Amino acid sequence: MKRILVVDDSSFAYNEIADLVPSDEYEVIAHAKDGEEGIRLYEELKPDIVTMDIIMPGIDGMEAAKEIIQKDPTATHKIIMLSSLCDMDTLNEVHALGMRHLIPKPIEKDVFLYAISHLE
Amino acid sequence: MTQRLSSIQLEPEEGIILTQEPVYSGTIRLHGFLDGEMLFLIPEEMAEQIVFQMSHGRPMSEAEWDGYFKEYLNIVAGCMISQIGNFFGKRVRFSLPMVKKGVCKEITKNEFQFCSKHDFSNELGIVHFVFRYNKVVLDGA
Repeated sequence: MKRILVVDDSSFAYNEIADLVPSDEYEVIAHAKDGEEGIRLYEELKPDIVTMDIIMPGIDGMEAAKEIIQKDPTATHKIIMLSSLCDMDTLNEVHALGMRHLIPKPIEKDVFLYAISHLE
Repeated sequence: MTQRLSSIQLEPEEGIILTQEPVYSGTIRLHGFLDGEMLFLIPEEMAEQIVFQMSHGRPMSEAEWDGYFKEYLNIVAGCMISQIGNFFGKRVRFSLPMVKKGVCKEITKNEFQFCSKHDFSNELGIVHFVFRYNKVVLDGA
């Protein structure tokens, strides 16, 4: 069972992801509402997958992802960035950090399920 | 939380702009290539329908309702801004949306420069987006 940490200031995103993932393969274990909490819960819970919103209060998702990756380079294969802002600059930034996926919001189920099963 | 909107200078037009019914306004600050604000005016009933559909009718607190509605505005604004940024090859960033509920007090002729308006029709009706920006920064300018 793969454990997912949702980092998003929106409870809608958390509920949506919890509803999307097959419950026999994935478990949403926690919801961090900002980047700082996301970093803390990543270290504490060591999830298999992290969904990271970009625009959040305080530390944004990109900064939080950078910090997590600095402490744990394997996190590039665990973090999926989510955002309503999906321009080329943002995508390039995600790839530059070593992550594979930037998924646009609103989340499409097939796209999301593909991403969480193709993180390596 | 309800708060009366201050006067809004827009082109007068039929539809929600002229109604005295309560509306939700969402304001998103832009910076970068486009510097200014996006203002959304959505009728109360439409906003409730939107959140109802997002939540699949699940009961929620006022705070959670606000969160869902802000996420809706966030998604819509981000999609629009992404396309604009891609179209011009420029970078635009925006703030978290600020949402208020109130009634349009005053509508006058548009006096804002560089103001454009988009209408998006969907099965729930028409949502007006007013896009007001203070300046456009171009390479070499």
